[in-house]
Amino acid sequence: MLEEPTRATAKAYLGRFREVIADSEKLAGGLERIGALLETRAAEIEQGVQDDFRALTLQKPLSPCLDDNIRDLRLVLGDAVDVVFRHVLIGGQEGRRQALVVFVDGLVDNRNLNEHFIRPLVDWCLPLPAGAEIAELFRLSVTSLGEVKIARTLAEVINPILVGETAVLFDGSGRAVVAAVPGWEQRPVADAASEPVVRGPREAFTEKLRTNTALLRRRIAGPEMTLEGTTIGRISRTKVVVAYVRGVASDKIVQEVRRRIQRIRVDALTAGDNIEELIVDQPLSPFPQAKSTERPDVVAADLMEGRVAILVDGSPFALVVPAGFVDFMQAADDYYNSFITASLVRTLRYAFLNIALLLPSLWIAVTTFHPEMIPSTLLLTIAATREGIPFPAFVEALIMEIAFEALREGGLRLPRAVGQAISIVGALIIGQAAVEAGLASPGMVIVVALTGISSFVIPRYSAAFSMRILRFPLMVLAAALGLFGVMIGLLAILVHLASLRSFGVPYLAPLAPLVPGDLKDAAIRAPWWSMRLRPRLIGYKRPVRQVAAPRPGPFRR
Amino acid sequence: MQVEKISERQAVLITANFVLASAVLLIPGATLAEARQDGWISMILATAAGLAIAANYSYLGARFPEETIVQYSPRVIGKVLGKAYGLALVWFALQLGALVSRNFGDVFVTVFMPETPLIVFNLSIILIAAWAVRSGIEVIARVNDFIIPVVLGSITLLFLLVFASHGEVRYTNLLPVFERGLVPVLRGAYPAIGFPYGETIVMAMILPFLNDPREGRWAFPLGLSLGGLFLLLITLLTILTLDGLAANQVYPVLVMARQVSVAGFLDRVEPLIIVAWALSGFLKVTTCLYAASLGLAQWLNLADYRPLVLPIAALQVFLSVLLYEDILQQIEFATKIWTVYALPIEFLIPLLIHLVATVRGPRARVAP
Repeated sequence: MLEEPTRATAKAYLGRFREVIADSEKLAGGLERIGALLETRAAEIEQGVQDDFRALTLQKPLSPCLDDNIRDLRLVLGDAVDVVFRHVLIGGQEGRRQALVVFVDGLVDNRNLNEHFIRPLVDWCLPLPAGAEIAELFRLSVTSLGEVKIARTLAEVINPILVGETAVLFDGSGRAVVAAVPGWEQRPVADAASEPVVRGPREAFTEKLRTNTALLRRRIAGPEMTLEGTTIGRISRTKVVVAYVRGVASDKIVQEVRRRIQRIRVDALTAGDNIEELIVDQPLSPFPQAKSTERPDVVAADLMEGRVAILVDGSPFALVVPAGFVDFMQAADDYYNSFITASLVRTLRYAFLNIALLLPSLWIAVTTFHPEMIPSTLLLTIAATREGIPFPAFVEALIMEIAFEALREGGLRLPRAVGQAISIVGALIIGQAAVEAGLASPGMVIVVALTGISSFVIPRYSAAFSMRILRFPLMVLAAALGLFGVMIGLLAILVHLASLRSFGVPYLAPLAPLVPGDLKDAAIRAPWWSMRLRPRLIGYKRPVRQVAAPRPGPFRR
Repeated sequence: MQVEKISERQAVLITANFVLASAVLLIPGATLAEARQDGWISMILATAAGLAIAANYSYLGARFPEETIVQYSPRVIGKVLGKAYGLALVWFALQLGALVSRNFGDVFVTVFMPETPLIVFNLSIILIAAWAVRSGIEVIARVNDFIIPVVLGSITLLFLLVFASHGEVRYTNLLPVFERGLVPVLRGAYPAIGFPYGETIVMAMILPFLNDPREGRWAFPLGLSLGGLFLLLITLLTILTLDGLAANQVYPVLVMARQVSVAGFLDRVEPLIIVAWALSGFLKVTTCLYAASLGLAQWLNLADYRPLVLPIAALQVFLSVLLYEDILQQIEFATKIWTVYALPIEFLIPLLIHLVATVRGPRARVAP
């Protein structure tokens, strides 16, 4: 039994011990956190060092020792399963030497690879020169390929390999041979699915950039046709080509396109079409400011007007700039049919453009606010059909329009076989059943159907989209303020359109600012022989399209 | 900021629209009330007077091609008087815009939506005008390019429809000419001189934006004549169809439009004329707001007018509601007071500037 003072002292000590334990626990926790932090930081640094190391490795010149090169290649490429290292022994009896063929499986054509690389190497019967000249000898005397490059650094070997070329490295030589025998699976040139024509060429761009530039070259053979290449995307390294006709396209526009493309800072350009969002003038506008087309003939015609086309590898659509409002109302067909037909069809299109934008809101405004504007017999008919409909016209229209949009979206996404079912269900349920159930009036069904058809009359999908979007705010305005609201909405749209520019060209040209000479290809399509001048705001550099374009007729002496 | 430029053709069309805007509905009533069947002669006289006014400020513009009237008037007629005139012109543009948007709201309330408060219409139209003004004079000119064919087309169409309607046009309505002598004709021309022709003094604010400001010499008078021609046509048409009835109407053009009936199905075309008139009025409001904002910015020596647009627009909205209580006051103001009130700003002081400039002959400052 301890005495009281000692017990008290012991208690005090115990308390101290507890404090110390608690403190050290805290400390341990802190240390652990610091440790974890240090670990992640170290991992980061190591990763960084590795990345830096890889980047540095890429800059290295090729080593004469093949094994060193193989090590470096593996370091940069990592464990890429599709990169093939094919060792070959060359040089017959005199002195054997190792060579290495490197390529990405799937990006090269195996037969050509065999014919132009493997077989000549295996059958090598020339004397082996010492050192670096062996690559030059291979290029000049062994392979039968057209374009063969000599690589001196690792980067010059790896970058081409990754886009489908093949490299040959030789032991004892610091030079490699790089040449392309491309051959990957691709879609053949097919019919233009989104812009079909009855008369005129049918072919469309594919996903392969070279095929697309070839399609353009075949239409404009003159040396003025310019194709400038660049790559976008830090990692994806997507090839982009800017096409224009030198001497026709204005330097200002070409320069502007170049600058905007160079300004793009993205990691990857996975789909070519999103380049549109990266280069337009007014990214927040609902209106498309670049024309996206999959028809080479359309692009060629636009280039000849002085426009600039942007082709992106992997995308079967070309972007044409500058593009104005009237360009979105032109279909390829207009230029292949007679000008009378084309002009009539175009006028019709403009009429239906207005219907697609305005019909639901006008219907709401007139039936809700201004019934006096409808002739009385028609008014009675409408009133009779609307009798018993539980919703105001606005709600009715909104429900039907949204249902229609959903049907359209559904029909687009569903597999083709099921798509049919959607349209049947849509027609039956939305159309007939809704009317029979007394949820919608027949008049409204007609309005919605007509609006839907009208938006398909607009030849460019993206332009039809802006009409579909703007229809809804206009409906709201019509429901709130009647015709006045519709007018306010239209004025707002007009002010917006007037302030838009596509690569410096006013969006509403040639209507506003009025360019009288260019009206020949706006609401109407004038006959070819009368289209002597290019669009003034775009093709001003060489304004005369054809000097003598006589009006056709029987030949008279 | 890039210097904005509009073409001479755009200037012509802006002026034509400026003349037409609210006058299409109001002026025939005001003129015919005095001049009766001779109203068309009054219109010709008023147009001639308007041409004199336009010639005056166009000449000044050609003399000072780099500046607006707010900028050069202090140098010509002295700092105090010049600055006072500049402020008066800014107020004039502001008030004119308010008046036009008030007309605008009035017609919509009367014809379409009697239960909606006036301010809804004035506010919406001025807001969109403010948006257009902030986008710049080029955008205003482009909107004008788009709208003016609709306006002129609608008036022409109305013209054709009236002639196509059976038995509406009676040429004998024009007789007898000068029934009560020259005085009523002059009294009929009097309101039209101040409104709309003299109002084109606002154009002196956009003159430096022309590709070649010296071309304003013909562009503004031409635009004024174009607008005047259509006003004359409308007045003539009103006399031909309505005769004595016209004198007692506030909006005789609407009455005329209501009478159109072609082949039994094309009738009641007044929405057509109201839409044309509203579009045109919108542009006049926009131009006035632009002139007021730019003028005030220059009066205060600011670099950019854009920050002033919304405050001035807000003033304009309230002014447009407070201006007068009912349509009778408006007619009284527009026909009796407006010309006296506005003529110094529209013509007399610019004429003074013209005279002083000619006598003293200060050279136009070349802009940097």
